Amino acid sequence: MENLAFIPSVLILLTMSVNLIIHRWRINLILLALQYLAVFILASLTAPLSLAIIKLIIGIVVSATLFITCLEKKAFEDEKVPLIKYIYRGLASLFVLTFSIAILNGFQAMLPIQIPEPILLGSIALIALGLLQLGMTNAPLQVLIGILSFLSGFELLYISLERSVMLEGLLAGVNLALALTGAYLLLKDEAEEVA
Amino acid sequence: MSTPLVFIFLPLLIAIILVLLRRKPKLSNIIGTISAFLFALIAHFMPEDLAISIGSLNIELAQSINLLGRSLEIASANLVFVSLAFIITGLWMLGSAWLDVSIWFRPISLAVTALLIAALGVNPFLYAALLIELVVLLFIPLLSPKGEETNTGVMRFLIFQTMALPPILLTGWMLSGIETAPSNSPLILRAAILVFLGFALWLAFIPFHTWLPIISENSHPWVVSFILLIMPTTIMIFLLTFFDRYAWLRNIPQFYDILRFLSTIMILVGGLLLTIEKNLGRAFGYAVIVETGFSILAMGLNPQGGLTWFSMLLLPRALGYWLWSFSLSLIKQKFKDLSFENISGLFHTFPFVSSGVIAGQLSIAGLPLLASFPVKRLIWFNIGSPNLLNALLIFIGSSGLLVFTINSLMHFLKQGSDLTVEEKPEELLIHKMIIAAGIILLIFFGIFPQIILPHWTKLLLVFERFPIIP
Repeated sequence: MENLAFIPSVLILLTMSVNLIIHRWRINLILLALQYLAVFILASLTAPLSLAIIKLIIGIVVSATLFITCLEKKAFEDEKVPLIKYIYRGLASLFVLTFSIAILNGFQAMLPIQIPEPILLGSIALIALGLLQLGMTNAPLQVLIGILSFLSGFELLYISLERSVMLEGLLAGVNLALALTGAYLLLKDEAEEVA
Repeated sequence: MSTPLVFIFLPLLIAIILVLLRRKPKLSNIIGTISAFLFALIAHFMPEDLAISIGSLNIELAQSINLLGRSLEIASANLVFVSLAFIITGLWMLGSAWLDVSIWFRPISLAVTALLIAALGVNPFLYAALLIELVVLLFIPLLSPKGEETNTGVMRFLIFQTMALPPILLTGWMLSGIETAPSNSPLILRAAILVFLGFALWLAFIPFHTWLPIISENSHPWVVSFILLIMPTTIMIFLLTFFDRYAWLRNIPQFYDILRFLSTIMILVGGLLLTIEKNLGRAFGYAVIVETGFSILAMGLNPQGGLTWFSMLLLPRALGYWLWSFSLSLIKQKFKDLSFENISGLFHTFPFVSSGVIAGQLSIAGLPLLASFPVKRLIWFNIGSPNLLNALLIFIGSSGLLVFTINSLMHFLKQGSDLTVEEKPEELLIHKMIIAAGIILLIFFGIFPQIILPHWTKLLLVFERFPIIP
């Protein structure tokens, strides 16, 4: 049963890695929603369901907002890059994943309370791969996915440490505001400012 | 009635009204400017007991309100910061009347001021990090308006500012374990690293500064200067709140040495980058790094009285930024590009605007007789006593802006340049008057600092536990 808890962690590793390697908005946003589902399952291992479900609802709203925005955007082309770039990104994500697994025990030792390993793995992977994604691209959608993943990783860790409804509400607000900012950045080039 | 209602929720309500009036820039500007200065005046003249008497009417304001089990509090001691924040907003709102800024500038600047005041008044105070993140997100439409390409600086600004959120919140959780921990506990070191990392990201410490020159080159100078003044000022006050509340943090061995070291790096690197800069916009970004360095240095010189200099530096800095960025905005509106080769010989066609740039730069650099000089002089004279090498490095860094100003002046005075202005190259009388007033004000502050600056030391009354040593 304990090993089953690793399934959402593995789902996080897979979704993040694919999002890092392939930049196709439909795939990226579906995987982002799946990632939020995995975060919700992991969060529900330690936090009350009423608190953990906020992550799922916000995740779906955020993914849907970005999806609708991309649908609205005219001529939103998926990235076309040479194969070597995919290989490079794949190797980089593999390196970061290995690093995340390697530091798992050391990180746990630094924390004064015991956090279940699947949660810790999911959280570190989201933070590390999110940061990697932020360092590899300037495209607004990919940057947004990177920031949202990085924040989800932190939220997953934080919900195991402290449970506050007010804090969860504010974090949900930040996620929503990030999605709206992303939507603005994606669509603004097509609009004209009226001075 | 309560102070949070007056200084947070009322400005937010006016910001919403300004959103509705955004297509009427003149009206929204008048309402925004008057309300910002009005809030500043109310905060300034509010009695200590928060009781207002108008004729026979007596209103006693509560200093806090409860919200979802948490509280927002603006005590009498906080009102000095509140008035400073609204003065800054009012000044920028006023200047925007003569500049071609985004229609969202007025509502967003007022909303942001209210949110930043809320950030300093929220309990538990670590929730401020979330409010600051919301402020960052509100700034994005200003930095990257519709129809303009999103520059990398905006994306980096968003990334770095968001990355600051987790370390600050994690610190909050760690604090519960630290209060009782011995001073050599590894928990203290970890929490201190997280605090410094979070603030380093927020305040664009080197090497997290890369977004600063990019946004100051590409975004509207007026918007950039407002953001780069109000955000770091609030965040530095927030940093002082950390030092005030957590004895374990300020009791770290070499605490002041660390602050001085970090600030010296900022001043030195920012200054050196300024000496080789060839773009007026990018230079503003580097000058902000140097200025943040000076504020942190003032905190590091607290045993010599640094915090009073920190508080007295804020208004002269605001005035310097105001004049500098107002002149830069006029140049950018005319020439689109702020690089030297594009604006050589500017003084011959735009003498007031180029004088405004030079005066703003010289004031920020701390030239005698200008606004920042009286306070910077105190910092320069005192930095030598803890460490002479620091003093030398700070001298080199401080010279950076002076070197850049001389460089700018040489380009402005070049003869036989081929300026390409679409419209008739002349300065409007109102622009000349504003710039002249700005220069006169900078000189007034430089000659008579004792009239206005000591008032701002009251900003420190909030920090009851962080000792002001001398």
